[in-house]
Amino acid sequence: MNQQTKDRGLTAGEPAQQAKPAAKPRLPVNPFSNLSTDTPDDQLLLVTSSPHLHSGDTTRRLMGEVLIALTPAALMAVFLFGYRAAAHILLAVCSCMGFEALYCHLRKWPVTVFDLSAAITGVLLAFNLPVAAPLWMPVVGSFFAIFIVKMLFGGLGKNFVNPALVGRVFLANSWAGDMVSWTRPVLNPFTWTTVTADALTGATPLGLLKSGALPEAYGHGGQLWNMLIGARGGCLGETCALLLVAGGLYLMVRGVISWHIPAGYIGTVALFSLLFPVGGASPLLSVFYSLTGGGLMLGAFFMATDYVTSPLSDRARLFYGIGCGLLTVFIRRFGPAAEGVSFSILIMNLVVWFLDRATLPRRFGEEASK
Amino acid sequence: MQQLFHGGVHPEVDSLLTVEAPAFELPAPELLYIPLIQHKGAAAEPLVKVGDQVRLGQRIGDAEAAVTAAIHAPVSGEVRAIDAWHHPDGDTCPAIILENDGRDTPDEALLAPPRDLDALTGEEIIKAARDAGIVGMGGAGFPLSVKLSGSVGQIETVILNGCECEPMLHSDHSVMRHHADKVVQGGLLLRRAVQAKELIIAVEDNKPDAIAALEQAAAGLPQVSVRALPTRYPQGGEKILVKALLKREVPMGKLPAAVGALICNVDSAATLAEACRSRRPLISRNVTVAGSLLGKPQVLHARIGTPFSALIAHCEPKSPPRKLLSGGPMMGRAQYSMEVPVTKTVSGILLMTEEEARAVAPTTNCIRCGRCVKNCPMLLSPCYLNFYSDLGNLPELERLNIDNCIECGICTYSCPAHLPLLQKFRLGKLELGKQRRAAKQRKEGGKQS
Ligand code: SF4
Ligand code: SF4
Repeated sequence: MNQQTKDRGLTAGEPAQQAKPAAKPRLPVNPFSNLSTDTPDDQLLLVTSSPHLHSGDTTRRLMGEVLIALTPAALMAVFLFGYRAAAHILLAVCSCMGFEALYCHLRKWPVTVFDLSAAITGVLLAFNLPVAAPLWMPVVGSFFAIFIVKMLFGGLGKNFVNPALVGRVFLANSWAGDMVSWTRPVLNPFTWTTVTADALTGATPLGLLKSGALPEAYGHGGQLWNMLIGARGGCLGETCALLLVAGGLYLMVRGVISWHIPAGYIGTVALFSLLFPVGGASPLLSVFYSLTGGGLMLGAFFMATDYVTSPLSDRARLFYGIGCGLLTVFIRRFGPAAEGVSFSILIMNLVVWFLDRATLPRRFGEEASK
Repeated sequence: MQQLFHGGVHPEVDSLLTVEAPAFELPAPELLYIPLIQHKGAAAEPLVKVGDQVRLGQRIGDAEAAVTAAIHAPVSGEVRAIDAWHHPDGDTCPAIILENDGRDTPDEALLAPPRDLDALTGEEIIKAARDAGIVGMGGAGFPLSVKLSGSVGQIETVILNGCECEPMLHSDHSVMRHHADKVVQGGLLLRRAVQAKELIIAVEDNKPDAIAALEQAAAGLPQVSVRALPTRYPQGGEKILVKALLKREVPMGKLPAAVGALICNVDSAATLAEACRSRRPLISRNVTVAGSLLGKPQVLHARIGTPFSALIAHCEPKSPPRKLLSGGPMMGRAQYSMEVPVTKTVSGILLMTEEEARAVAPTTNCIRCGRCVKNCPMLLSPCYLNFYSDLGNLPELERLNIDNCIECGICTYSCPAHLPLLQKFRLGKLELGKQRRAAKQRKEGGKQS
């Protein structure tokens, strides 16, 4: 074909008025005559349907960005709670990816672990464990999250609830004691935290807020700062509000998530805590502790925004965020437990389909009614 | 950035060419292949026989049907064959194969003295468009005369589309920059033909030189306005352009005339101006030849019927392409042969290297990221269309307005899961069409029995 191109080039390059060649040009009658059947495949022209351009986004890049955004908070968790936190995170990530690979192997599917979505599930699951939890817990939780919630439903994109959250709820309901064994942060990455009587705090700040037992000292500068950097009792990845917000903002700047879910979620919780202060605290303290005292930042930026289990359009996402916020406020206020982020998000996961349907864009051509 | 229509994307691709100089007149090759279908509607019937001598601009194909376009000889010479030949829309099509005698002897009609544009009536303009075989040169290929005669009196605004249907194409850019006066004249003729009030020339703001040239050409004409639009694909799509300019949406299954607009490609308008003045039919056009493997990517002015290989050879390819497109990177058609000819609707030839052609990542399941929903200019939910087309649920596809899809390819372009979304929708539309036809036949059959 190349040869032919060259020949054409010569004819085309010369002036049209040139003396005509004596012989008439050869006339290929069969259009396929110049395509010999033994042309090797890679020299034939490739024919595919349009478009022929791609933005370059891949599932793996998006998932990788989420992992990057989670990294600072993970490092902080190790600093706050000692290297037992690192063990939890690694165990959860490895077992999530391992279980996914195993399932793919058993079903003879192509192995999908390198899209990194399982790694995110692992990190999030570990983030939702108290650091003193036994080390088999991340493994059992991963099994439940990946095998049952994700893979049995068809793998990536097919699960309708967030696997990490279901894993957490499963653990919390099966081994309730282990899941609320909050320890004080040790602020030393080289400690192996174990549950000893003096390390146990018994409650998260959110719990204290709810019971109206927030100590006086909690309203002061040092303690407020501690809340922001995460030096407080709680699950190992949820405490450092500052880095979680930074991670969330990073995802927004990189175009991975939109602002609608976090804004709707956090805004709603903040508004209700301001209007109806919790446990007799002052309105501002109530807002501050509602936002930073539990798992809200982790939930709003990383769990509720999970693509697979959140709505598609920005409008629906805003409603979804507000829904999560309302449920969280409701559960925290009236439920038996202090925290309600996991359940709110799981419940909202169930109405995503409905939200998508309800916010289907109007048909192009039916102009918005004035 | 200002958003004049929903969604859209701005792919960062560069065709590495300028339109500083006017398009180079590519000498006509020895053999030209002139397909008898280069437009929407009925195929033209050949008006010549094998062995006939034809002159440049002579009508060599036409049909009686209401929607069709005449076809003219792009060179003078001898009819060597009338036979199937490659067609840039894929497959083959009957074509008149001309041997160029190199003399470009013009047809008598072209020798008549030029007409005064201001003296032409609307009907004469429409007739001139019919005689010159002018079609929508942006890619649609709808016969201009049919479009005009069907909308006389219903049009308020004539829009000249200078938005270049796709990234990387510069054919219209070159026309606007170097023939701005013809574009404006053509637009005014269209306006007179359909008795419209206004004439808008829409250009994207990445072509400031074209805007300047047009503004100069339109100076002192209050009824003409040149509008610069933010560059965003697919602004060149008719429905999207009407939305961006007039803030009105064309209903599903309707033409822009439904909202009082007539859209015409700038190149078609310039060709019309020329046809009205000198009676020169549509026998040549600007073609962008681009691709990273070309030594000299450029806009060429080529005769209709010139094989792609001749244009490519002129642009000094460094290696043979792996993929060859007629049109732009988003909506262009992949070709299986280099010998396919330029037709009235070929605005660009794009060559892709092995790496560019194979730049695909493995597909994953849909991760419901929402990018397709966010970017679809027609307000569709490609994610759900994908879901239902996998299930083969045609009624649901119909309910989700799959018919509104303009096949711009943005959903596939932006999908991180690399799903072949548009490809599935094409199939869905096809199946839906089949089903509808079958239902119609059943109904008619039922009546008869
Ligand atoms: S190809 Fe169709 S569905 Fe996809 S973005 Fe374009 S109009 Fe929307
Ligand atoms: S862009 Fe692709 S992955 Fe994202 S929602 Fe649409 S179909 Fe799914």
